Amino acid sequence: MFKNYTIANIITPLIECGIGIIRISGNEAFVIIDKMFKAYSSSYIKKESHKVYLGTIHNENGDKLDEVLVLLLKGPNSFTGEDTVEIHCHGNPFILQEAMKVILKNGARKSEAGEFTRQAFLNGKLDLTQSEAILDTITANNQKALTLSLNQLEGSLKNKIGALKEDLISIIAYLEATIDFPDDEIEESYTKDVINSRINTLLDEINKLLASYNTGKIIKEGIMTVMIGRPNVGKSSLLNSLLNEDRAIITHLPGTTRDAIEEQINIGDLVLNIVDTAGFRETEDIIEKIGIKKTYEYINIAQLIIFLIDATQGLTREDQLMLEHLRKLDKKYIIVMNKMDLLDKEEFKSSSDTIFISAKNRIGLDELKNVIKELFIKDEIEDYCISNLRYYESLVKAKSALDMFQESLESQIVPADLLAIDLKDAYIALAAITGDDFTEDLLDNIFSKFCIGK
Amino acid sequence: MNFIDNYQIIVVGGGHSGTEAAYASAKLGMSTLLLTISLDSIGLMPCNPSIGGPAKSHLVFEIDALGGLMGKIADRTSIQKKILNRSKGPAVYALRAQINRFLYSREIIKELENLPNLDIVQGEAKDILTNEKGEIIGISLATGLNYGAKSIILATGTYLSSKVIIGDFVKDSGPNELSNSKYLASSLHNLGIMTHPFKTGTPPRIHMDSLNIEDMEVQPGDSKGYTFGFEEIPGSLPQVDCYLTHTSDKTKKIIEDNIDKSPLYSGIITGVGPRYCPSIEDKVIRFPEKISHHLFIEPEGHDVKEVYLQGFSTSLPGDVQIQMVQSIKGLEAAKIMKLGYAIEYEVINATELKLTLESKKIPNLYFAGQINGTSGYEEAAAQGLIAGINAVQKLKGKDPVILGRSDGYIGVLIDDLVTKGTKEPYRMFTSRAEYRLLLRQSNADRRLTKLGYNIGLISNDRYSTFQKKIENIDIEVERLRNLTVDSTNEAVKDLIGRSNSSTLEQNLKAAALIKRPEMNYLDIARIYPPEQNISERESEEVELLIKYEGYIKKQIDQVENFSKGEKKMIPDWLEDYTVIKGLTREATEKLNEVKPLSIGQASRISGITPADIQVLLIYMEQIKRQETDNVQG
Repeated sequence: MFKNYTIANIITPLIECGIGIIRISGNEAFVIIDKMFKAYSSSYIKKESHKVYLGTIHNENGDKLDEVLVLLLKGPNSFTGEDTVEIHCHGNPFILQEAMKVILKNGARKSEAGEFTRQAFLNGKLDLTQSEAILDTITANNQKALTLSLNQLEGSLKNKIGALKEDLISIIAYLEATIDFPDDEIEESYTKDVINSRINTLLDEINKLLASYNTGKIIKEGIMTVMIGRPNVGKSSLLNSLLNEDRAIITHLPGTTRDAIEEQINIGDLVLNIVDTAGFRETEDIIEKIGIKKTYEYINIAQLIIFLIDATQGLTREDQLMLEHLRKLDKKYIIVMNKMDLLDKEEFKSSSDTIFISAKNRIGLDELKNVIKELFIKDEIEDYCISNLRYYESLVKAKSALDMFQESLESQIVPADLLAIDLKDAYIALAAITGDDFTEDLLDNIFSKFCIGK
Repeated sequence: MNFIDNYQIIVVGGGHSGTEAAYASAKLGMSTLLLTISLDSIGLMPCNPSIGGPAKSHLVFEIDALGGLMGKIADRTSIQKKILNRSKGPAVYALRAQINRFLYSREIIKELENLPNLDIVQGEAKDILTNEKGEIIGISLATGLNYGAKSIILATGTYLSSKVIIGDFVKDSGPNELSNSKYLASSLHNLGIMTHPFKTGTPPRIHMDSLNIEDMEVQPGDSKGYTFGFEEIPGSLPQVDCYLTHTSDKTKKIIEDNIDKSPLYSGIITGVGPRYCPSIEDKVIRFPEKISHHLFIEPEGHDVKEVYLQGFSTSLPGDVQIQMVQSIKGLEAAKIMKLGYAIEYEVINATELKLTLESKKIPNLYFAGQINGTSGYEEAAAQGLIAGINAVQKLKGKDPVILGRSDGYIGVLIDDLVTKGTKEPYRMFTSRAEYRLLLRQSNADRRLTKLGYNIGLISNDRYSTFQKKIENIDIEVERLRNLTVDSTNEAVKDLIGRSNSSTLEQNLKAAALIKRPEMNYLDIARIYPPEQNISERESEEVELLIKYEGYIKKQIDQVENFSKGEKKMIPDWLEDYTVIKGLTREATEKLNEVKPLSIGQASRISGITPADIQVLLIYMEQIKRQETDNVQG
């Protein structure tokens, strides 16, 4: 549909490793690969779909870049629904980038983030929930997020919403049948009490899904965590200890939170995005003051504050001021007493918001992690928890419509035709997640449940 | 070609659709011919002898508000009136009238016979005549006569290649033993317009004196003076009762024992019937747990003995029908005057039409009523009126008249038909209207009469009465919003006490008081009377506008939101959707078939997903950008 809709990109990370893959997708994909690929086998001329060809790729001067495997996928039987070529190179960033240059010169456009998925979506290969789930899969940074998006892909969320819709429409069908067929015998299957309890159940389910959004979001995006404390209470050593636990999955994300350094740490199913801050203390030093001001700004945007205190010194005046500050905020925080190795440990017992550790000796770290987990994941995470803002907003709409409905039902004066408006709003909000036709669903339901007709 | 006469518009069919179309056309000054198979059967009600009911009543009010016929004729010939859904809310109050069907037909004929510009001719249409350019030039009759026309409106109802079926008896016939239309379907096929069969049915008619009404529940009317028509002329016929009775376990057994003789189950009937209007045998088979089904006895006139058995439509063989009828409580000795039957007839796919009901393929050829796949007198009349108006508008070179889904049930009806088509005979329901709180029968005039006036179907007198009414209502609502109710006033205290309302601690606005569930407008108006005289209907509307203000506002917001899609027009040059790459094949086919006017309409086509709409929007945006680039470059 676009003038130049053949897109290409390196779809594996740009690091030294065994294999690097480039994908080209679009109407020119086969033409582009022809210009740079020499197959060993003559059967390549046939361009059979879903076949792998071994050969070499070359730059525009004919210099050989690499020996590669080329996979041809004819549309619509490919992920994107377009003609697709995948080049499996050796995993050398330089080779991959050189190959990309050739591909772009030959007429492809470098894909934007998520564009292959968008192509797939536009070609009807995926519906909205599925394509959103794939984007989640791509950006999933831990196991739970991955399962979550895979489940969404297979439609567990779709099924869940479907069940809610089914419940809702049978109530609407009852109300509407009594309106549109006043002469027919509509069994009074829904008294006010029955409707009320059904709506309550629905609201419970929706509330659960809504609550799962925060969990879902946390799982998907990580928890914005700020580590604070006076200078030399051991912030850096705690950070290092936590990092050292699981070196393989640490990433440095310089600059993402202004000038601070953010570290990502996995704690089971959770990801903490930790910002280490400058130590706070009373000072006249201008530069230090700026740093401390920053610390307060981070506290304001944080979802979790880890407040480190030097256990050997006890609460200082600055600590006390900070604690008062924290208590005034509606934030999750944990007080961590460090350097317990220097104390007579027996007399200190951790409590739910105060934990004794020794960052240096790695004592109490598991306990700290458990407390964090408890703070953020209250129940076992459901398989259908939502992590997508669009769904969240739809559910909020459905919920407020149902709340309104219950209020009207309670007031006893609002007639059926108006009650139905709120229920219908709720239904349409849910249907926006899966995409269905309200009127058809409704009439099907009425005619299958009630014996109607002149 | 030799034409007996030349007309601007020819209407084929004298049923509820054709008569509205011919009336509008002639009234708007077009030389018009109404062609009917039987002159005596113009305005015939071949099924139930009633007009109105939920959503259908809304259609009749709208027809009247635009200046159509049905409402005032129904008022004139009604023999019972009833308001349905009184307790279910202002949006769905609905008037239903039992009609003396003989007089109804008579009154319609009178209206048309006395209309200047209108000729009425009995004859069967055979061929739609076109010139070498494919333009409409006239119509030929089975008898060989030809009439010239610039536009043709087809309103063939259930007559197109129809057949009547009772058991294994099948007969080429229209309803009520009238001739069917034998040739016209193939003329349509030759023009490239395909047809397919739909099915409907009707119950037996019984002699009133053979019923034992003592065993039945009387169903009297309750709103004799309430009218469909704006002019509020209720008619003067004596009022009659209907009766409610029930089928028995015996009825059920007879049907079950004879179900193999039903043409529905034996395969004689292939057309699709309506789910909301099943035959009694369908009900018994589909809901076997129900031992008894209720049904109504409806008189076909105040001075006729023939009664209609509502809820007992059947196409089982005659002898089975007699047994079935006589197994019903109070009908043990019933004498059947006419057997029930199923009727199969040809319809077109309404997605072939524009929102004006003009064919997309053949300019100046319009389709209205049951031929478009609807059922019901009211649905037919509404389409006839719109087709008539649009045929005239086009010949006069004026803008088409298209009602939106937020303008009226007529808008919902036509948008549904043209955008989605229908798999079964389409009946209007209030639940089909997304904005039904705004589409009340009580405000049909406010919604549509100005349009009717601009078109030319509403007289100056009526228009000024209408304006006065609207002004009355608006002034009164405004007065009540500003009027302070004195909490120490004895009459107020007394009213509050009598109504079991909570005592007024301080003064408050009259509107706020009316919003209390136990209070009503009239009581307050008695204490604080308005300066102008407020009629009963006006006071109903005043109360409703105040009581449901919040909900009305909410729906207005929804309409605003909805209008965004309706206003985003799909450009004319986009004729072939195959050029858009990202669309699924299904979406491409559907869009090519319907050719929606707006993004809003496109999104309502069944099978069009939000993803398709997004692709369409992206494509439109791309092209727009390219154009801007070209202009700039």
